[in-house]
Amino acid sequence: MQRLPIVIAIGLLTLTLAGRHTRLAAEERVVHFFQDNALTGQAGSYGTRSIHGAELAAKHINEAGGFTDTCGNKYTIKLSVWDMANSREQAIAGLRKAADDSTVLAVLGSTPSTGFAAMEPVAGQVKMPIIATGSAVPIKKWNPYAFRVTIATPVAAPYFLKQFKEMFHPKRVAMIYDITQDALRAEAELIRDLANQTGFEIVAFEAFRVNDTDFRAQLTTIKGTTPEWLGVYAANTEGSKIINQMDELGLLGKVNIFSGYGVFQDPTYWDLANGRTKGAVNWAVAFNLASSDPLMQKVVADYKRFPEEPTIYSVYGYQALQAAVDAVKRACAATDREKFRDALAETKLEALAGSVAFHNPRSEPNGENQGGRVIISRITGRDSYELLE
Amino acid sequence: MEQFVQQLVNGIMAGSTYAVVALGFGLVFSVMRVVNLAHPEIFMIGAYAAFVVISGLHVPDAGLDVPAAVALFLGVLFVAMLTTGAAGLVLERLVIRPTRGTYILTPFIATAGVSIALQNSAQRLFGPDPVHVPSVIPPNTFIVGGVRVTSMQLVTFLTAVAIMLALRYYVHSTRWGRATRAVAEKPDVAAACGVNVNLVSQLTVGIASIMAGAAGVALGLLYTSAAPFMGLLYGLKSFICMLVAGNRHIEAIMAVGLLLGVVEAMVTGYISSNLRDAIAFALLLAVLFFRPQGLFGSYEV
Amino acid sequence: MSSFLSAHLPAFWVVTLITAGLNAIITMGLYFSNSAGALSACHAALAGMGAYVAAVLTTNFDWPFPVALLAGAGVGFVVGMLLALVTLRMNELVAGLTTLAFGETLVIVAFNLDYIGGANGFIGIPLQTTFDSVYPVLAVVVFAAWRFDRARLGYAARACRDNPHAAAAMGINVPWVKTLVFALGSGIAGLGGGLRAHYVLVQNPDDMGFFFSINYLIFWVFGGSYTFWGPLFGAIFLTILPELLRFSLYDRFIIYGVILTTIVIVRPQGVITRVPLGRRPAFVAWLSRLWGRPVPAASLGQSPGGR
Repeated sequence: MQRLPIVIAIGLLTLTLAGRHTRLAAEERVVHFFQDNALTGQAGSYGTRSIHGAELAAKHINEAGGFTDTCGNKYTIKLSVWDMANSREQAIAGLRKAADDSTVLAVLGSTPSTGFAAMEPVAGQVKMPIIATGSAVPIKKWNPYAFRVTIATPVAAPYFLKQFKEMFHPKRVAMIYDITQDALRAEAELIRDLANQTGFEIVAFEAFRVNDTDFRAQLTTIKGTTPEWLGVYAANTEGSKIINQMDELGLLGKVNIFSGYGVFQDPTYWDLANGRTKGAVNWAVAFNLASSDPLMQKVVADYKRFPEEPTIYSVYGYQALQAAVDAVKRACAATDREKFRDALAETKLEALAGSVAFHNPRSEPNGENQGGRVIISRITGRDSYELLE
Repeated sequence: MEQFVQQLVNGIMAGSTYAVVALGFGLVFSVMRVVNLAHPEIFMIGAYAAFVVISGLHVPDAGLDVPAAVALFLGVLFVAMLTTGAAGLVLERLVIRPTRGTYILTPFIATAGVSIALQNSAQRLFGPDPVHVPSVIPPNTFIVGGVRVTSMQLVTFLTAVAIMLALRYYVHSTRWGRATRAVAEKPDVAAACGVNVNLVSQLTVGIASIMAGAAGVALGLLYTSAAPFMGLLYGLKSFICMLVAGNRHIEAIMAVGLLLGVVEAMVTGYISSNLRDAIAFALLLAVLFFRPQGLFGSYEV
Repeated sequence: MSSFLSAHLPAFWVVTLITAGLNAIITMGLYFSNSAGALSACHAALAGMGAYVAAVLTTNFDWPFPVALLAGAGVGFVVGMLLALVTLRMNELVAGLTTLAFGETLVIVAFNLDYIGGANGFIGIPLQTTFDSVYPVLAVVVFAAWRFDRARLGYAARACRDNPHAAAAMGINVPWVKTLVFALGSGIAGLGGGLRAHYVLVQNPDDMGFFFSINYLIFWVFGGSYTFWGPLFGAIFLTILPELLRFSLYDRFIIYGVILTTIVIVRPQGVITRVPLGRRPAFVAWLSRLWGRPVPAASLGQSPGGR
């Protein structure tokens, strides 16, 4: 009789263990994605949005009870975050940490090119699939493990120029661009190089550096050349100052503004420029924060839990997670990176805003997003724009 | 010709934005031989203080008439200057006083640590995006013979001039100002003559920080934005202005600031916008090469 | 060594240690350059130049890695020598400003040069640097610094730094010492830059700017600018510190700034200070006392002022 409590304890323990075993037999797994992005530092506003976008996507899926793959396994998503603070070495350190951790299936990030340019070759060395969420830096030679959901200049700008010519027939175009940012400079130079065959003349080609605050000298030069259109290739901090100073110099009424990467659809840009971006034209990935698509509306509503407003980088983060989940579904693997990579390499997914499509065979690697609809829009309000094409 | 005058005006106005930060920076350096790397961040605090006050009062963008606008501007200036003055005094007591007098770079790196902490705190508090500061001064543009200047640019220029005059008055005509000059020229002799060097140090940093607050308000309103890293650019340019001007005359820093602005505008307008900084720096360096003690002379360092 | 470490340390700590080693090499270069009284505010630019040269040579011209590294170091040496010659007659601060302006000019030139990629950076650099290449080079540089400190050149440099007029009166050729020492430091920085480029595999003009040069200055002064142990310690400690602070996701750098400032306030002369040659540092003397060994009185203490 003194042994009874011990017997009961052992019995309960056995039942508990058996019960656990039973739960495991239902094959529910956790798939772990690692976010290597910029939370602090000068690229903080972009990386934070990408991280939050992916977190929101994971939350939506987990709240719906997780997802099921084509082999019948159920998964929930786990996300961990690594701050690369706009430093190449920290980005690499994060990637290697993820590679060492056998529970991590893929890395999402990074948004700044500082990180992605350094992570891309390392991804091939450690054989860790990475999905970048916003960098548009030109990659000389891809390795099979690097992907990005960004729509970059080589794909978008020629389409934009074609539509631009047909819609507006410009003759005199000036450019003001940030010489220190790869994507902005690349597009400005591409437009300059394609100007002749598109049928317009570049009358001014002025440069500035990131963190600059006064652009009146460049704008005065541009004003002297009387262009019809001005391409403002700048991030929101500098671009809003450029547009404000255009107004002060009397240029705003005389010259139309265009740009790329959907910059004008950023509400912060509108705020900082005090609404002067109304009427500006840009090419963008087909996302509309005010769209009637129920998923987009849900995302915009749920994004309110974060302190900042969503922009294209939030969308990229969301899409990257969607693409990763879609690849897991087809690969039936929670920790096998090779199978995951091969599934990811043939993605064709209708994601949050436009499609994500990869064609990344090991023989001829290319991690660019082949899907993604490019639209041309004109800004009509803080959160609204008019679709031109 | 009109374009030339416009570029000249652009340069002077841009130069006054550099001068407005460089004046306080240069004061601390010439008096105490201390490079206060946290000065641009104190300037940033001033801009954020303006943001907090103006958006807290829910002022509609440029919706005030002139007397109310001036009153609000002065009120915001007062609050910002109070905040940054307090921050400067704390900085002096905690960070600069223990490190000054040793190697010249020690306060430099101590204040560098403070500036890192302040930048990241601002990013944490206000978010990584720049915040929109509603404009207070009615945004009129004055057009004289085709050359355009806005009211806020003039206000910034006047702020720089006011700071310069205030500092000049302080340094030349007040008792503490004379003590400050004595400390700037020969700190040991001044101490031997009974000057309380610690108090002079506190006053100097305090006044420089108050000026940084005024600068923050002016530039926050000029560019209608405040950002956590807005001080970086001004730090570099102020440092250059300060060294080229020499530390004998406070007016020299203003002059060199305007000169730098004009040189940049002219280089951008007439030579190349790509190489603007390279050529501007090269020209200033040429000046220093021929006059190593600075354009307007300096005390022995 | 590399494989031993990879087996026992998490990979990201290996990355951090390699980064610390690279920073240490460049900061040792700064130590050399500044040992005669100069103030180099462009070491990141000098390192970047060496990096570009080495990277272009290995990527575009298939030079062997060690030769390319030495070429990068050589370019750094020559440029450093020219820079030192230009700033000879200037006082310390104006010379510092000249180096600053030089660094910024290099950055702008690099942004405008399409051959090296401009804002896209120079990519496609082959991975050549591992733990096994960084730490032996660092050991060689530290050994060189140790020998330098005890050689006539080292004494001459310190004399020039402490009092150039007295040094000249003692017969030291001050301009020659300053130039040589600055050039040596720039060469070492170029070497470090080349190593870094072959680790990070991308070299961007941004990495050469004033912000990074200030970082090296911080490592140098923080650690202790009068002895070579100082920059070594400063670089390694301040590179590892942000990684130790990762428990705080958002506030990491606020804590880093506070720790940096606090330590500088407590030890304004630098964490590691110079001990007169021939005497044992106070720490070693304390250890000997703990050990029970008697310590001769004459070998205690540091020079007055800790300078």
